[in-house]
Amino acid sequence: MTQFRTDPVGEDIAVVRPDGRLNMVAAPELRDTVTRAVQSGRPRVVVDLSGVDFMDSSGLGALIASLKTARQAGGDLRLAGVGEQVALVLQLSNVDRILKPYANADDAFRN
Amino acid sequence: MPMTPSGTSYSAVVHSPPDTVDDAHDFLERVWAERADVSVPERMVMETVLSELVTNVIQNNPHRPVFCEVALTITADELRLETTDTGEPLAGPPEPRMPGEEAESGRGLALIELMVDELTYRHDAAGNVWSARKVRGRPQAG
Repeated sequence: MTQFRTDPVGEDIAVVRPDGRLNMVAAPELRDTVTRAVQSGRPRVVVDLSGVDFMDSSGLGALIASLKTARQAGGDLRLAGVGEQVALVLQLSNVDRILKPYANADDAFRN
Repeated sequence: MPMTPSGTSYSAVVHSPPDTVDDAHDFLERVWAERADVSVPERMVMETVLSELVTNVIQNNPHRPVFCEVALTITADELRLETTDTGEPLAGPPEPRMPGEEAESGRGLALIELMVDELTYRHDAAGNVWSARKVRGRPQAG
């Protein structure tokens, strides 16, 4: 069972940390978690994937939907802590063009 | 110990509901626990392929229970993953095509095609049969 933790950072950033696999079981919860963060006034979202060792196209779809949710609220969504398998899926799908991975959550919204 | 040419097969059944794609994933983790010879890159490919195939089976049959048999055959030369499901047959031949970056779905088969050496689909008396074959690299020393 994939679990999600959300940590507020600064005034308008939320760091969402899934722990487990991002597949069709976990994808709806990821979308809901990001939507709640954005609705709570934190449209700049970091999804820290360091606790995720597996993601498939369902997880990818949820990340893209979440990116759109953040952008519609004037924010953005960035990835951090991407592991080997997640990086492979991002790259093969070309989604790394719109979701560029940052080394860690602190770097994602620096500057 | 030399491996037999026919290889070793491992199988499991995903019966959804209540099983989910997580059960298919757990099956592979049990196989890996017995098979230290399967490399990390090979595991990543098989896990992704199986997750996408089982997800498609479940999503293509939203209003009925499905039975999906999963079989992984490991030889010295290749890994072959086959799923046989009782769901609706495909309306036409599969057309894997990677959608644009902003699409929220439709990437499963395209991802599989990029990761394996061969992906085939057939519908026969047993149901829908998907077969994905990955040629193995040279065995690692040690």
